[in-house]
Amino acid sequence: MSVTESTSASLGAAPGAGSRPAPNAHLDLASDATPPAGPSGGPLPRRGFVRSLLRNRKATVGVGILALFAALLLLAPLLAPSDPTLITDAGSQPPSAEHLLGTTAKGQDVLALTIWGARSSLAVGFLVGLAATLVGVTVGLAAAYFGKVTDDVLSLVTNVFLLLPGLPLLVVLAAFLPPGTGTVIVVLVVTGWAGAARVLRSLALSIRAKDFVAAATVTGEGAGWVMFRELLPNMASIVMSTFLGTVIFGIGSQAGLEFLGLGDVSVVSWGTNLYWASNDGALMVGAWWAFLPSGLCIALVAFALSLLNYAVDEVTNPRLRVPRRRRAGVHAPGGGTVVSAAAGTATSRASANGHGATPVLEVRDLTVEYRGENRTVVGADRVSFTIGEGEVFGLAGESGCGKSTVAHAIMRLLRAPAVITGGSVRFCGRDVLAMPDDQLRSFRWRDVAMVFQSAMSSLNPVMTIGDQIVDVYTTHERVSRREALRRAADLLELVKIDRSRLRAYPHQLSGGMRQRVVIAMAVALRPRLLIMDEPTTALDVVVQQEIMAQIADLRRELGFAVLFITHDMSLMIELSDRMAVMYGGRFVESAPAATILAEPRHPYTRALMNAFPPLTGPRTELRGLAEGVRFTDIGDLVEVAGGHWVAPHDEPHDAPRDQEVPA
Amino acid sequence: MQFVLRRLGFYLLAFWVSVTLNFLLPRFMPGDPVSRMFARSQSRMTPEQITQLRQLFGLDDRPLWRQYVDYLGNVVTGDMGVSISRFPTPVVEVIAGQIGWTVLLGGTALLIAVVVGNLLGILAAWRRGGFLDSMMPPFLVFVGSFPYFWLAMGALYLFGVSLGWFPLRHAFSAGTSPAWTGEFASDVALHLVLPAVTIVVVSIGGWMLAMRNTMIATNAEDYIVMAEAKGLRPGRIMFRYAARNAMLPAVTSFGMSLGFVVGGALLTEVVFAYPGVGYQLLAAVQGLDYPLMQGIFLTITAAVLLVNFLVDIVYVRLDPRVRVS
Amino acid sequence: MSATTDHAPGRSGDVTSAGTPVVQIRGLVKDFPVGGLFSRATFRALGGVDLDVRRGEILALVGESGSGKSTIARCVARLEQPTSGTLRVDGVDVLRTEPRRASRAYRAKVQMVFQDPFGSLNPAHRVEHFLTRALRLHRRTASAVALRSRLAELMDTVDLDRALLDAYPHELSGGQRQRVAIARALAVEPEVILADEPTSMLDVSVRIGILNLMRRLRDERGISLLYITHDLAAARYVADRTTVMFAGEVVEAGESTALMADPAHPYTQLLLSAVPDPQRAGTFDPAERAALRAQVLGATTCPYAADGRCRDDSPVHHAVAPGWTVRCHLYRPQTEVARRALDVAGTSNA
Repeated sequence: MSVTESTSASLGAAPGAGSRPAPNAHLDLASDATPPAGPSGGPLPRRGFVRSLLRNRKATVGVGILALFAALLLLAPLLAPSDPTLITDAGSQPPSAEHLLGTTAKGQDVLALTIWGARSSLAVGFLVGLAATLVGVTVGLAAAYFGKVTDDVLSLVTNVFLLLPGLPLLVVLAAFLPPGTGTVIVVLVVTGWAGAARVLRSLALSIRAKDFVAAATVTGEGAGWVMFRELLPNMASIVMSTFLGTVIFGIGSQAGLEFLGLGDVSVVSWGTNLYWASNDGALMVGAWWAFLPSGLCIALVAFALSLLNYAVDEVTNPRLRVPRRRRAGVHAPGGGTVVSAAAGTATSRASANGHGATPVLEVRDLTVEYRGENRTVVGADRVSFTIGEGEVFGLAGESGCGKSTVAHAIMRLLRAPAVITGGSVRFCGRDVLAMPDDQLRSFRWRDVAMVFQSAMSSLNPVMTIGDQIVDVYTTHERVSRREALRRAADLLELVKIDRSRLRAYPHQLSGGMRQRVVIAMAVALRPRLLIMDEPTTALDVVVQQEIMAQIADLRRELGFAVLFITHDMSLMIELSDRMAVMYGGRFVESAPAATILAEPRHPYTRALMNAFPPLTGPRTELRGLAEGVRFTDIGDLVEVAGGHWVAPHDEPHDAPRDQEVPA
Repeated sequence: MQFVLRRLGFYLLAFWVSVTLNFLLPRFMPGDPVSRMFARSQSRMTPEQITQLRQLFGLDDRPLWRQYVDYLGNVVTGDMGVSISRFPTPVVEVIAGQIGWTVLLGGTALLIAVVVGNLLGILAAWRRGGFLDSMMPPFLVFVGSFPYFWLAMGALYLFGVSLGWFPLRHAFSAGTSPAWTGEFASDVALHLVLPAVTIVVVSIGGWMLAMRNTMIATNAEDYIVMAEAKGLRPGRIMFRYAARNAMLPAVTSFGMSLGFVVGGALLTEVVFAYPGVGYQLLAAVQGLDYPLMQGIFLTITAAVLLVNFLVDIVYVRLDPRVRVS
Repeated sequence: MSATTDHAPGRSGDVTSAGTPVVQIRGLVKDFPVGGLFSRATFRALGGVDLDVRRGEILALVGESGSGKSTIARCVARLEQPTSGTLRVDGVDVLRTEPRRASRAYRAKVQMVFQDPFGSLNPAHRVEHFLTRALRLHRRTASAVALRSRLAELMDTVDLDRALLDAYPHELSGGQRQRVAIARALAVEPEVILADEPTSMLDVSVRIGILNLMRRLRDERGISLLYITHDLAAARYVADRTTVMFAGEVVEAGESTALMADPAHPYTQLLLSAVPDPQRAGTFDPAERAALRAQVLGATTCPYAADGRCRDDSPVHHAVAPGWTVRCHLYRPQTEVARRALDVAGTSNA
């Protein structure tokens, strides 16, 4: 056991923490300020972004195809020296040595037309993309900068233009304007900017609302700096994907317009090639070579841009990536992954066992790994404890310490990349990790139920709470819907919520009420063990106190045992019979709650305790952990007194200034 | 209710913008294309028709605001002048005769693409790393990269010209006339296959990918984990909990992408000479038939806005959070 | 391990010698518009707040979410424009002298540390950038050499390794980021720092370190801090005085330890009774709590609305003790408290 102070930059949290809630993907019609549903990851530092992008296979393929076309574009005079518009007598010739891709009805060389056509098509596409993106960025920044009325007006105009059907508008505009490439570009930008503006506006607004913008303002930065040095760099990845999207739009729409004969048909481009092929009746005479190459080129370029765009999405939101290895449980929601549940292999002597009676829950040497692509992190490391009938067992620790990992492992709710690699979980003697899927489903909620951290997000927003409770009954018991509803109403009254609220949707209830609904749901089947994962963290203290009182009442009435998880040591000591402190996937101390309060042994336990100053008595200087202090190689627990187990440790030998007593 | 009214106001505004755009285009565009049109077709018209068209396109000396007010009045009462390419049929009648085919083609294709695409997306997100998740998206992206009209031409060539499985053009066989008989219906269905499949194939990938991505985000929500913890059956979690929430953004984007789908349908109609408004629009462009062109544009816009409004009403039914506010 | 450093009584005694407060807020009202483009509806977040931050003190502003405590900080930071009221900094009525945007001179006096250290540092910049910008903007350094030493000094002050100057925010832990944010505020050499829940998003084991840093800044540099928190225990630990807010109003204000030992306002009592504290002798009688809650939270906007008197008659601030006020019609001085109140009747700031 050693204490190390890592001075270099180090990431605190283990990946299992899932540390921050993912942005909600629901597009809310009512508020237009919601970010787009697409890439939902936060802004990334640019270095990492480019590097990850280069590593993405989709991006590589996309860039490869684009490079090919760039070469085609530049080398056109070398590859196809002849004038592509030259009319010869050799009309409608199939591919041959002389004309590799055959000739058109007018005897023009298709290969030359295709190669030269790339110039106009790609130029128009990129110009349209550039202009539309520029307009989009301007709208976004203007909305973010001026706010209020300007934003309302801009968003209104954007949405109106977004709704106008693009192609008919294009056709009408193009019909009234003099034909030519310039017209095509203008018309495409007029119809295409709104899509870019919508995405970039909501992005700019969401970044505008971030604290770092306010922080820059408070530091004294001017508006221009804030716009271009704070906002813009964080928009880079989305600006890029918007640009790619509008280029695709540009190339495709140009081809469409020209195909209809609305462009300048004397220009050589992929679109006009197709126009002439169609006009000359190439299809009817079976001259497939006249229209195949240009269409294929359009598709290839669009495909390459889409791939690139897709890669940008994947890099900003890694969840979208297709999981590599397809092993058991890599698929989404399902059984909960168990790789080898070889029970009773390594047995540590120490276990946080308090008493002799048959335990409700017995966890032994539970080990969970998060298997990333590059490295594996241990989320829970040989964790052992038992919970007796009707007992409240507390699990304390900070985000990323593995306490939620343990809770999820008990119900086998872990998802890839988390894998249970060792140990056993026994519920009343039954091996949970060995249960087949159908047994597991009936074990869940009937035997062990769970109250999740955030009641806001653990209820389905589009189902009434009544239906969500009914779901529990109809799944686990053979009851009619009517009977289930009646029982659901009784359940609500148990937690002092009016029965009429059965028909309410989650958003119609206050935070405290929602958590009560979840608690009611949890005790619906009278489970013998209730896991509570930070049940009150998001709530104000007054509500928190009431929820905890509610749980105490229910426990008196129903007699279930509780696995209580929190980072709030005061709350934990008030509520738990016995408790354990977890750090880096390991237990560092375990004892009756009163013992922890009276004499915490491990320095980490003491640091946690000190984070909650007392409300009475003299004000004394308390110490926390200094920044960068890490405990490593935590050994097995050793019993230092009856029921008091502590991991071997030294006192931290470093004493940064933080810990000195100020004057 | 307030939400619905607000949206209605918004759509009315959008429609007003497109009407105004229509009003301004012939009046302020360079090159005076309208005069060209008159030069070409004046001889066939009666003096009243000429006066009416001149008013419609601002070739009279009334003040602009007066023209504008009259124009708005005309549009509201459905008077959009006479078609020039199909002289002397009024524009409204031309459109009325063809919009049914566009609705049939676009509606069928859209329905299939949306339902199948979203189902594929749901399944892909549910079984991460499976065939649907790993192979399907790139493939569909590739197929979706082809221009509508090009795929239509390919299909026409392959299945129409070469193999002869499907008819080459129009919505029903020459010689038959529309009637409510099984024979005619199957004839129409046969003509519908190629154009509809073209649209479905090009657009399905977008639906699938969008749904997959939203589903992946939804699957990470706490209420999905909670539903699993409740011991619910996977099918119920997938549809009632995950897909039910993930479809909300899909419904919104349905309205948004309607304009694009309509555009694709127009191009497809052109290739198959399918007698809908898209085919007619091209004919109008080629015949310098500005009244018809504008009429079609306004009709399509109105239809798109109407469908969007209906989608909003559906959305309110689907998302209880909007209902209250 | 820990020394008794109960300096509180000495500090709050010299109220009169403190001179003009650094920040003086009178009748601060903030209405937020609700609804869309054409809506005129507003929500009143602050309903006329009076508040003083004295020189060299830590003033805690406690309340539950939605009580308006963060709005006060954002108004003082000039991130929000108050609807009405006055804000004096160093005696200057700044809403009058610089009504639209805060001047750079103002920024040099008032700095802010935000709640979320993951959001308050732009992920695109390095640590050095944040500090250098603050130093340059306010011309706190002359030469490049001076800049380097100043940067090092700042990092030392907040107990961060100097090597971290080259790090990007995502490479730092939450506590380290919050220290960078504090260093950025310090770079400007401000008179007052507004700390908006600076520890609530940090891991618990490093929270006390941030609080200790705040105490040190006050003691060693004489910086005033407005510490916004929902955590009464932390407020008691670090703050000289505590102000309790409820529904956009100040309901009680006083010296921290005294106020929490014997809260006068029913809301403060309720709040305190809800804080888990294993060391507290005895728990609240459930019936008593229920009565308290009905009395306080039964009203939606104002705790005194229960008896309807506040509608006609705004409650005055009763003096409980020197520098300790409570604003409630229901407040009845107990005999001992009444005696104290009589002693200081003249100094009441009603």
